[in-house]
Amino acid sequence: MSHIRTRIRQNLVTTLTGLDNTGSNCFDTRVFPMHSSVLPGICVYTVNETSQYPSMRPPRTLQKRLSARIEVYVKMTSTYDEMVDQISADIEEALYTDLTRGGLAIDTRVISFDTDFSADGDQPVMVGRLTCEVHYLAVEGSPEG
Amino acid sequence: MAVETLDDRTLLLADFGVSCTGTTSGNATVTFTAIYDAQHALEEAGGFVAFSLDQPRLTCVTSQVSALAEGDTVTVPVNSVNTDYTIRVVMPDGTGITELALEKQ
Repeated sequence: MSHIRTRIRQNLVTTLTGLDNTGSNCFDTRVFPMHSSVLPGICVYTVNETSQYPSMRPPRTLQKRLSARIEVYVKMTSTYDEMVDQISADIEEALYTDLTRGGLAIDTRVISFDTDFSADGDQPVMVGRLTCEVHYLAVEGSPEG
Repeated sequence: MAVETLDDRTLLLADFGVSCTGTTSGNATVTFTAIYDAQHALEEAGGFVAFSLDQPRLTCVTSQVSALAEGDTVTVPVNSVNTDYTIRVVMPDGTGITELALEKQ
């Protein structure tokens, strides 16, 4: 069994694979550059996690808040902003279909979105970044659930 | 005195350049010789990973492309295939040579 965080990230990737505009171009913690054949594409990262201890006696229950970053990569001559928005809409709809991430979590919330652009290459490029919080419970000393 | 003169660069353009056809917004046609280059680059755009892409550029004599501006189109023979671009940035170097940054269509 793997860490609950790993399984949640894998669930996110599975959920976001096969969307209308990105198809199979959805990657788990991609570290290599995005080239034309994988665009438009989505990359999923788990970037931060915090724990709270609501009970006193070990083994304590942990309330975990996992922050996942879902990045949308688009390169096209025009309407790149509309494409990022459309893919973001696809992502939000897909995430909403199961807020428990396959029973691993209590809730999934998209809490922020921001973008960046560049036009130094052969076509404009744009990145949309969605920050997604996944709330789940774990027991102290049992990170694999 | 510059290390290279415009005459030196014009010779290079004649030797290594290709014939390009620009079209202005008013539909006027401009034919000029330019050196085409599409250097590969990794472009950061705010994500965890970069974009892997090309940076197509034309190096040409300023006086030959003075009628062209941002938004005009240009057809460039790339590996003997005519390829359409839109001019996105006009970059004169102040010594008679202009570099055009292109967007692939």
